[in-house]
Amino acid sequence: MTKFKLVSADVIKCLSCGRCTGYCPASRVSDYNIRHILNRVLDGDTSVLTDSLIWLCFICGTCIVKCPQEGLWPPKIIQNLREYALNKGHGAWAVAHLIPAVDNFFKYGAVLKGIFPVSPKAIEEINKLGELTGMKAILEKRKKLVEESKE
Amino acid sequence: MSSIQKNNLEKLEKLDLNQPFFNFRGCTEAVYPGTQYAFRKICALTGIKLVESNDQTCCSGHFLLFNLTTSMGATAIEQRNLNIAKRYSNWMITLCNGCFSSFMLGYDFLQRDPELREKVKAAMQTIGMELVSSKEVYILQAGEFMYRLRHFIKNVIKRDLNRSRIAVQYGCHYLNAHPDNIISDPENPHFVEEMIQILGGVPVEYQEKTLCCGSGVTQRKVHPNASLMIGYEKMKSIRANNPDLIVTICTYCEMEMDNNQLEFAIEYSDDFHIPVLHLAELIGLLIGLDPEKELHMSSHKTSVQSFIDKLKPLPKE
Repeated sequence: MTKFKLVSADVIKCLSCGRCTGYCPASRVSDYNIRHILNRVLDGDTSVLTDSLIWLCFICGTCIVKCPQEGLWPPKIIQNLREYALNKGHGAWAVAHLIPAVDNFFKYGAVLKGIFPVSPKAIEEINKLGELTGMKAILEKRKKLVEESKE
Repeated sequence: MSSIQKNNLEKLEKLDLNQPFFNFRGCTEAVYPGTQYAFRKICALTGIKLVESNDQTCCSGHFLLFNLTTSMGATAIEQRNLNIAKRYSNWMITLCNGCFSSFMLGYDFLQRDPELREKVKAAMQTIGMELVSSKEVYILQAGEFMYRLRHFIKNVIKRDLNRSRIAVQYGCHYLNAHPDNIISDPENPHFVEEMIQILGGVPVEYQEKTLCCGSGVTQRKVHPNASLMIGYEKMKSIRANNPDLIVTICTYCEMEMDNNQLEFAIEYSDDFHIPVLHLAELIGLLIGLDPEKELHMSSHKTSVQSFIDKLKPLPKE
């Protein structure tokens, strides 16, 4: 577990019952298996970070509803794994497509220019929050990772 | 349905409609402009005061779910929008499940993570804002809100559904992500079906009602094959029950299920031709809005004309 400090502590609640996988849409059409992934996390298997399977979660939350354990949110664990993976330099291919949308958000206040009117004050404020919360720093880090992955 | 969901339903039924409601705008209205237009008209016709503000921004939900921001960044953006809403109302209405879920997630982060809470609070103070709690601004999915208005809507429609067979898509980020904040059983939702019956239609049940539409936020870009296969499973289950229309309460699901039908024809040589409408657009048609000039029905990839032709004008009183 020490290798996965960034992964939610909730993971230890997993009973390995497999209900999540049984109802998971991604499992129906691919090798994605949330139960196996959680087991690998519990085993401290760091190879899960470079496994492209972690990007197959559809974040639909079906597993949240089906899980018998209160407070266990498998999609949050997957997101934490993805965060860990990106910080280790893996997974740029999976996030590259959304970078222009984040750029637009800071420019126009919306993911596309002109969807609805956004005041200059609102744009100024989200940019300030972007600086203060590290949102912009993350964006620059992801952009760099995507550029490096192209090389 | 759990006692929490029953309580949510009771709270909705008792909701005072003589107060302003904040209409939160989302990115998908660029794709189907008729959805937002219809929603405003429905509210105007039923005496609801909707408030909007140019100080709101997009919800930022996409970025969090694909790790382009942190929980703290997303929560701060949600909190800024909630501060804007609070100036006008204690209720924020979203036409898209993505926005609905993003706000709920922000509230959840604040509750679960005291350190994040303090940092977001400090960030908000720098722009002269404060933390808003879920008790101060309640997030309401537009589908639930229109359900609350069902009897008023029944009184203002000019056409009824003429026994049209309608399959309902609720969407994962409504049903699953925050089941304690909705009015129905996430494994067997039913309130839109009830509305369809009130409006003269026949709700069609299908096995995969709670299956994801295939969107997976933006999995169409990341894993197009898996995304399409999930969408295909859902659509086959819907078609097996012979509906005239699919109605959804989420603009994101609407986009996915409408666009996917073109892809199914190309990838699987399988033509569906089942029109897909947001519940607001459907009611828009029933209250007599112009299908093209007002509802922009040609923005739909799967033609809606066969369904429009089926609607029956109600006799004038």
